[in-house]
Amino acid sequence: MNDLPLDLLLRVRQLRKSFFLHERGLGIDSSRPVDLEVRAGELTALTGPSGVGKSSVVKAIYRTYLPSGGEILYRDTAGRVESLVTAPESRILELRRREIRYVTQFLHFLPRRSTLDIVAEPLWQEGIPAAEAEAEARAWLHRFKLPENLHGVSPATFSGGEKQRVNLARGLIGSPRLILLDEPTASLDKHTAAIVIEAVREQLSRGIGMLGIFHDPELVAALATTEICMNGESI
Amino acid sequence: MKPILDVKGLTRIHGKSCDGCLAATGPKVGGNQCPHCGSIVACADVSFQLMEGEILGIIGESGSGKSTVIRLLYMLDQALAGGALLHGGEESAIDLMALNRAQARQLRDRHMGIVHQNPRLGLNYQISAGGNIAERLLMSGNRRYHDIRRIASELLVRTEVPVSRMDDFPGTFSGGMQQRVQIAKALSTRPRLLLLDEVTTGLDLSVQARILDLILELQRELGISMIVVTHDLGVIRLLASRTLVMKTGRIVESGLTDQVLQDPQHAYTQQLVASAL
Ligand SMILES: Nc1ncnc2c1ncn2[C@@H]1O[C@H](COP(=O)(O)OP(=O)(O)O)[C@@H](O)[C@H]1O
Ligand SMILES: [Mg+2]
Ligand SMILES: [Zn+2]
Repeated sequence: MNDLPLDLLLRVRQLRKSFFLHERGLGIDSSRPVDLEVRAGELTALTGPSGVGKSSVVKAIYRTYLPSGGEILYRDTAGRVESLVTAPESRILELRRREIRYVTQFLHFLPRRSTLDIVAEPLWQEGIPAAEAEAEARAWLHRFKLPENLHGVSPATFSGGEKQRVNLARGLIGSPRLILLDEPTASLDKHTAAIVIEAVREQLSRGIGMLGIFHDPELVAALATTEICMNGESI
Repeated sequence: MKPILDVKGLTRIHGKSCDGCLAATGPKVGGNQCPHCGSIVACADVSFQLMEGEILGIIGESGSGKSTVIRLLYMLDQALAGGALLHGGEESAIDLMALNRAQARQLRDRHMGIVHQNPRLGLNYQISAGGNIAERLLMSGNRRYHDIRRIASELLVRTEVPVSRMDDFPGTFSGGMQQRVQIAKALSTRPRLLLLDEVTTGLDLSVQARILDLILELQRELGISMIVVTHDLGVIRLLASRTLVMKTGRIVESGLTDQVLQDPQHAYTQQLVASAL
């Protein structure tokens, strides 16, 4: 049952998501059955028109949504293959801390925390000592050209562009095994887009696998090894 | 991750109770009062696990049985049925529901802490803030005056209560500060399990924020396992990794907090989430 070719980090088969709204007695199919694979060191792009259910697929992999059907197999750092559909919640939490990262369009952050802490947090979760994590976070903020005087304050008052860069730094930092990207790059300026491309490539070259939803076909072309179009078939 | 607490089938009924109490109450019926005997089913068949270092949320409307669960776990009340195994420490697991009064008191004093919504339930207003902490330290077996005074002042610093007010009575403090003294008192014995019942309800937003920050810091620094009871989705979202949803004394749904909030399964949870956004 749980067999996954050695080069795969993640394999999704016939994954479906539907919702039932009790108040209206109404069922909604959010995505048609989808198949996809992610390999270590590669990015699989998930594309298709808006409303086709791309985000639902990503959320179902991360367990923010409960899958309605299908199979999600994941190979962890220890090489064990497990089902993300049936894994207990405590195991999913462990994977979220150590291995599987989810990056959305908006920066979700704890209030009243410095930007540096927000970016370093995924490293704390990975078990990296605070001082080392802080240095690494600083480096990523520099990379994304966030002025030094903003490192110590909360992003609450930042501009949209600044928040987005903090979000990307926090999303790409460290050594997760699998990163799920849900349009964290919407309407990037040219300069930041170039930084993102370089940073993503660097993390891919370290063996991290990614599944990404991107607005911009140029980013797909620059980064993806495989494209899954949710209207059609794999390219 | 290892469980620190295994709760199974916890049930408490106020009144005589009859054979029909459980079937005639609950979310499907929409009430918690038995139509046959008039008893109130405060909670029934509550089962869950709490993992080491985890913050578990319990959410639900007023009267859904959240505080009942907390009071049962802290052994302030008696369960009609069910068990709650506390793991960890050197000893083997202990069933909290099977202890006599003296054993319960000892376990509470050594390994558990509670913070009530109403600080009057958690603090003694006849003695100073420092005295409240000292009293608990004494109960847990610490008898050295200087240690006690030092630990008490460290805890007050930790919970941001001015140490200069250590010898003042809690009744002279603001609501938020009383709550922080309660937290300091609960923490004084370095409990393995901390129970927090609506600890920010009724406080000003800025005071709430500082208490929530404090709770998160305590979890991060000390790794204390906590159960946080609230009717406020914002508190759950901020603090809890997993959430139980209660209605009419029953758990109607449980899951990762982001899943419960974004993909609620039960009609009641959907209603709760929809009305909050
Ligand atoms: N001592 C008591 N006698 C009778 N009914 C009680 C008693 N304590 C609680 N209840 C009832 O049990 C139910 C659950 O109460 P509680 O656990 O306090 O709910 P919550 O904390 O979720 O607001 C409510 O219907 C409440 O009125
Ligand atoms: Mg209550
Ligand atoms: Zn009855």
